Amino acid sequence: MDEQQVQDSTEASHDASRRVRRAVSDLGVDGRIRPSVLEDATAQVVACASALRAVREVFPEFGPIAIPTSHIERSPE
Amino acid sequence: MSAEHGSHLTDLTATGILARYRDGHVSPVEVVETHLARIVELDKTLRAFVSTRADEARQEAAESAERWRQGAPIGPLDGIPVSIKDLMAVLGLPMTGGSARPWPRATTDGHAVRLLRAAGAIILGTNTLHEYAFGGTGVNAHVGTPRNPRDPTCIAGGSSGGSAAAVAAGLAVGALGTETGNSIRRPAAFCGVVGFKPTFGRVSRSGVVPLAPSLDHVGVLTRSVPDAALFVKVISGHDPSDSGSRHAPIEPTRPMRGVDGLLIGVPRSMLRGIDHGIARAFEDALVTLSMKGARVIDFTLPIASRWTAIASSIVMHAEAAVIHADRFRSDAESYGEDVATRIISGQAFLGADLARANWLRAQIAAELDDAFGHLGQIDAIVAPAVPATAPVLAPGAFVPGDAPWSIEVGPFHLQRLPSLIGLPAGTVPVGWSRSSMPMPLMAMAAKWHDSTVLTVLEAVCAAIPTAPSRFPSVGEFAT
Repeated sequence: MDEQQVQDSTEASHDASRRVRRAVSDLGVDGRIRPSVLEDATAQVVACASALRAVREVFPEFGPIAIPTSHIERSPE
Repeated sequence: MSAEHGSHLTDLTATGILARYRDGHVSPVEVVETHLARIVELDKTLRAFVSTRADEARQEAAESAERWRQGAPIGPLDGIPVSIKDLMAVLGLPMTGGSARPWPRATTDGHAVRLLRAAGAIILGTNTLHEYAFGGTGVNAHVGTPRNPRDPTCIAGGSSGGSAAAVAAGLAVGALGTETGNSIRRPAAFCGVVGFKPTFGRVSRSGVVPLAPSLDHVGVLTRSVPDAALFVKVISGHDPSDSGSRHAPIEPTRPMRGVDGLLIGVPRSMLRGIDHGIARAFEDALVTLSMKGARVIDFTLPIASRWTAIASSIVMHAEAAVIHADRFRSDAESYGEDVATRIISGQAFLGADLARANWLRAQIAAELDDAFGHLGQIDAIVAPAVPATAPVLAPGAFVPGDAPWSIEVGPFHLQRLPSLIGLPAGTVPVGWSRSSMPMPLMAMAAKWHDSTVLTVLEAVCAAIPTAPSRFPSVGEFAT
């Protein structure tokens, strides 16, 4: 992994960890879940996010709006 | 008892037993007693049952015997002993859902159970399963882990593992199971019986503990394909109490002239990492189909071959988080670690994740519509049902080839495909390994073409032996 990939991976892991903490709170089970469960859930969220990044790469329509310029009328100068 | 009786009765199919009832050679009392005795003998090892209702079954068998004596069976399954996955309501029995927190005794039957009873089936008891049907191994610390009757050192699979083990071992003639990902076909494949999941909407889920309502199906596990057709015909029908139930436009057992003239598609590029013996048995089955007049072609499913597992996993986990929210909040400590993990991750997914998963699901459905429709004209798709035989039961047991988050091309996508988009699908053994483990094939077809799947399975089905009546030493395994 290059530096950018390491950084992306770390960010993805942190984001997943935040989402799992939020999920535990939303479910009303704060402090009642074993750390190993939280780690496994975080790993699943990371795996899901990684797969969905690939979805956006393969299916551009699911990325940010990017309408080809050929389809857009030029704005008047 | 005559030579017909004894343990031989537990080898028979439902259609075989019904023929003997009709001829008066065997009575429902003998058949039910033989199955109950076999449960007593073997279930300490197999752990296929959560609860039994022996006294009630005996009484119902006596009533059935009287009806047969009078030549007036109550329905097409009169006197056939069956079992029910323990997440369907069975009148008078508690229901665990495979959990540590059982529901109170049911005051009415679930819809499919009620239809089975109305057809005369005799319920022997309820079967073990993966906790809340949310897992593929069947390993369950709460209600016991079903063992594989072909080799009790191996898992039966999940989630309907107890149902598959019961049918394979001759403890029940047929069983009801449920499937959200692959939970009927996988254990059926591991245990060497027929597993069939009808088209989404054909069989009501009313009275079934849900897991993911847009994916949940009720189906059957049996000793033969004709039995599967018979059971499915009995439990099919619209039920307004299930919002997913539909008025089926085509009967599940529409008569067909075998596989002659059918176009069978093989998604060859997805068949990677398959056990050599299973791959060979599958190729032999393709030859059988060709010899019987089917045209077998290779074809591709570019979208389904990569994106089925992730779409299925996100939808399943997210819906399960919704379904379990209240129960989990009040009793999280009772959940097994694997199921708790899945519920929390399902809650952690974002709306955007689910949007993408649902979009993939629609794309996959469209791709299959094309394959079955005017672009492909394929009648059925076939593949090995599992990439390897059942693994040994051990701490951390996993399902071979299962890759719920993978977007690599692989056979696991085929296992999730029918449930994701509601196609009819089934599995049968098409060969047996040297160690007597089943080598299974799966088939699927377009929505409502359940009869096509059953026809293909019947054409390739190897004879299904009952598991040996004496098992090797099981050893000590944690449940």
